[in-house]
Amino acid sequence: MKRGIDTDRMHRRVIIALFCLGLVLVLVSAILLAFPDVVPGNAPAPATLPGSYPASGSESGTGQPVVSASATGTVQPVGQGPVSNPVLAIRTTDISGGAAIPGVSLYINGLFAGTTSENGTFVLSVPGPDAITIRAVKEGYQERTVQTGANVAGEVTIALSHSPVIPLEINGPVQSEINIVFLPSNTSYNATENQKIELGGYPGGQPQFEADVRRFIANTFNEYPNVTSAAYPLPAGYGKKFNFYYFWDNATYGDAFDGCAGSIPQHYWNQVTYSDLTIILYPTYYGHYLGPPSQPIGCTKLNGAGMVYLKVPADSTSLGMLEIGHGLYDLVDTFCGDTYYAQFDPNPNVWTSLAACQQNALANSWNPAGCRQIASSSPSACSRNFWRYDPDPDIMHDGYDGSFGNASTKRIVYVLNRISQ
Amino acid sequence: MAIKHPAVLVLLLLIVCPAALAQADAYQKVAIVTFSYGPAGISTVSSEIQYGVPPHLDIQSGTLSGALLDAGHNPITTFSMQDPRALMETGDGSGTSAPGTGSPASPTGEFGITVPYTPALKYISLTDSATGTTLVTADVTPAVAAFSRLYPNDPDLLAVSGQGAARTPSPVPVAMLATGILLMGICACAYYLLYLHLRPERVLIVDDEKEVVDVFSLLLEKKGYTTLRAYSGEECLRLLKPWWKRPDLILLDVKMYPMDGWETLEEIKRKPSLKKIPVLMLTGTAPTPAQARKFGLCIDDYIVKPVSAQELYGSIDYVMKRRETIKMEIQAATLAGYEKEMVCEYARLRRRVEVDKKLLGILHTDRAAIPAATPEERTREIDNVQREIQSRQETLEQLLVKLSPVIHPPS
Repeated sequence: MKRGIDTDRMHRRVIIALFCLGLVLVLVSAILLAFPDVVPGNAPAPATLPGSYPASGSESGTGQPVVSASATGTVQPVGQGPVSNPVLAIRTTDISGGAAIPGVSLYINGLFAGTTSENGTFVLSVPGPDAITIRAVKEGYQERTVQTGANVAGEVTIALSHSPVIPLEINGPVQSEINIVFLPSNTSYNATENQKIELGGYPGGQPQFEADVRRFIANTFNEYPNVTSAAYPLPAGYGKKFNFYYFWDNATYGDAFDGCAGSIPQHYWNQVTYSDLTIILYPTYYGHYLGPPSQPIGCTKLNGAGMVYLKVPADSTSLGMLEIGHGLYDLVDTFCGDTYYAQFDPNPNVWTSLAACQQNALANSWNPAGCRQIASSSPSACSRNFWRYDPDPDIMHDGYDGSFGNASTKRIVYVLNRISQ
Repeated sequence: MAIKHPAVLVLLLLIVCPAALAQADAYQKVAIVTFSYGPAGISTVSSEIQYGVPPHLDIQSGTLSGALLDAGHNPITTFSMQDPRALMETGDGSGTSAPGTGSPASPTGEFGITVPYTPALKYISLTDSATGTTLVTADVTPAVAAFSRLYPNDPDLLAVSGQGAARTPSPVPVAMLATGILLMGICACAYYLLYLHLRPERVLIVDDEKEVVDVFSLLLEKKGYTTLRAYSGEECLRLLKPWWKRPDLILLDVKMYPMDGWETLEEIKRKPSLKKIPVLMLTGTAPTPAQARKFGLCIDDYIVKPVSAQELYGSIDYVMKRRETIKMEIQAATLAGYEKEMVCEYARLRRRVEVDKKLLGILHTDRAAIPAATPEERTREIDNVQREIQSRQETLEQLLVKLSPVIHPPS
C-alpha cells in the first residue's frame, strides 16, 4: 500500500514541532534567567553561601573590617593622574598554599562582574579613578571583600580561606531548612572546685569534635520518634527539615562557661547569619552541679532570631534534648525552681492557670486531671503559678530522663510544620 | 455524534519552566542589630547590613513582637521572640541532686537579632506583645548608608536610590521565554481544536439537486452531524480546500453536470490530503461494472436513491465504524510485527470486498444499468464482476488466516 504525503499527519507534525520549539525556547530562557552567569555580564552569580566572611566594615567595629588591597602589598598603581583604560588583574588564591582558585565570583562595588578563570585570574577595566570594592565569593570558602585605593591598576591578590562552617548533613537549601550549627567550646567546668577549666582548644581537635557532634545529633534530633508522644506524629521525614553544620577554624571557640549559656565571639554571628540554633558543645562536666555559685551544666540564651544559642556537654544528650526544647521549640521547664515560666501560645507546654491547662486538655481530648501545678517539696518547698500537663518522667522536668509528653510533642510538631519543604 | 480520540491527552499546554527556579539570591542581605537593655529600657547599640542568608523568623514565639518597617513605619514582616530581659538564661543542673536553677536575670545586658534585609527596610521595632508598648525602634538607615559606600552598585541599593533597575534580567531570555510560551500556547490550542476537540462529525453533501442536499442535510443534522453543502463537483473541491474544515465523510452524487460524481471522486482521490476521506456515492442507478472496477477501490459504499433516513444513517454509521475497526486492526497487526505491505493489503481488500459485494447486489437488482447489448452479455458482465469479487475474497481470507492472531474475521 503506497502512501502519499499525508497532509493531515504533516500538519500534526508541524504543530507538534512548533510546540517543541516553544518548549525549547522556554527551557533555554529559563536556564539563562536562572543561571545568568552562563551569559557573562548578565544578572548576578550564585548566592552568598554559608560560611561567608563578613563583607562590610561596620562602623561599630563588630564585623571584620574590609581589607585594603594596598595593605596586601600587591596593588601597583599606575603613576599619577588619570590613566586611559587602566586594567586591573584580580587573582584569587587559597590562603594556605597560595594555589589559584578558579570559579570565584567577583563583585565590583557590589555588582557581579564575572568569575575567575582556570588560573584564578580575572581582568577588568577599572571603572573609574575612585577606589573600588572587590567582593570574592566561592562555595566552600569564606567570602572576602577588599577595597583598593584610588586610581588602581595592576594586580590585586585576594587570598581566601576555607569556610569554617563544615556541613555535616545537608537536607535542603539553607533558606528552607532549620539550620543547626555546633560550635566547639575551649572550656569545661569542674563543679567540685567551682572552677572553669581552660582546655586550650577542643580536646581531640576537629576529628573528635566532629565525632562528638555526630553522636550528639544521633542521640537527640534523630531520637525524636522514641521520645515524643505517638499521639502527635512527627512530620514525615522530619529529619529532612534540618541542616547540621559545625564551625571549625582552629581559632574560634565558644566559652561554655562565660555566663550561664557561655559566650560566642561576635564574628561568628557575622559568618553564620542563618543559624536557627547554635549549640556550644563542650566535652564534659566534672563533678555535680549543686547550684550557684557553680556554673550550670546546660543553659540556653534566648537572643533574638538568628542568635539563639545554648551550651551542653557532648556526653549528656538527654540534657541536650531539654535545652534544644528551650532554644528551638520554646518549651518551658516544668520543674520548680528559679527559672523562667511563660505560656507560649500556640501549643504551650505550660499554662498560666489551672483552668487554661484544663481547657487545653479538653480541647485536645486529654484527661484534664493531668493538669497540675508546678511545685515540689524537696529539697525545699517550691511552687509557681504555672501548670503543667505532661506526665513524668518529663524531659522538661528531669533533664536526664523521660520523654516529651503530649503538650511538648504537640509544640515540637507545630514548630517543625512551620518549616515547609 | 462526536469525534473520539481515545489517545491520552498529552497536551503540555503551558509547561512554563519559569525563570524562578529554586536558587539562592546572589545579593541576599541581612541586618544584624545589637541591643542593650537596662533600667532605662532597651536601646540600639549597633546595626549593620551585610551579605548573608537570614534565619527563619517564624520559628520562635514569645512575648516580644518584632517588626521590620519601611520608611513609613509600615510593617514589612513581623516576627516573635522571647524577651531576653525577663529571661536571660535558664540554667539546668543535674536532676538527681538538685532542681535546676537559673542564673538570676541580669539587670543589664545585650542581645542581638539577625533579620532579612530588603531595600524597603528602614527600621526594626520590638514591642511588648502584651501591652503593645514599643520598646525600641532601631534605625538601620545609617547601616544601609555604610553598606552603600562599600557596595554602591549593589542592584538593590541602586533600585532604592532610583539610579538603576533592580536586577532586571536580560531582555533576550525574557523575549525567548515569552515567545516560547506563546508558541506553546498557540500550538496546544490548535492541536486541541483540530484533533482532540470533541465535535460532531462533519458530512459534506454533494448533489446538484438542491432539494436532495437540503433533505439530507436536515436528516443528518437532526441526527447530530454537522453538514456542508455543495451543489457541484467544483464546489465540492472548493469546500475541501480549507484543511481545518475538512469533512469526515462525503456523500457524493454520481449524476452531476458538468463534472459528474466519478470525475469529482477522481479529483478527490488524487489529492493525498483528501484521499482518506470516506466517500459514499449517491446514485439513482447502479454503476456499470466498468465504473465499479475503476472506482471500487476509491469508494466506501453506494447509496441508491431514494433512501430512507434509517438507511442513510445506517450506511454512514457502518462506514465510520468499519473505518475505525480497520484502523484498530492495522494498529494491532503493526504492533504485532506483521509486514506493513500485508497489513495494508488486508485493509484495502477488507473494504473493497464489502463494497463490491454491495455493488453486486445492486447489479443483480438493476441489470438495466449494465450497458450490454444482450441479456447474455449482461449476465457475463455480472459473472465477471462476481469472479473478481470471489478472487479478492479468497485473497482476503488467506490474509485473515495469516493475521488471525490479531484480527478477527468481520461478522
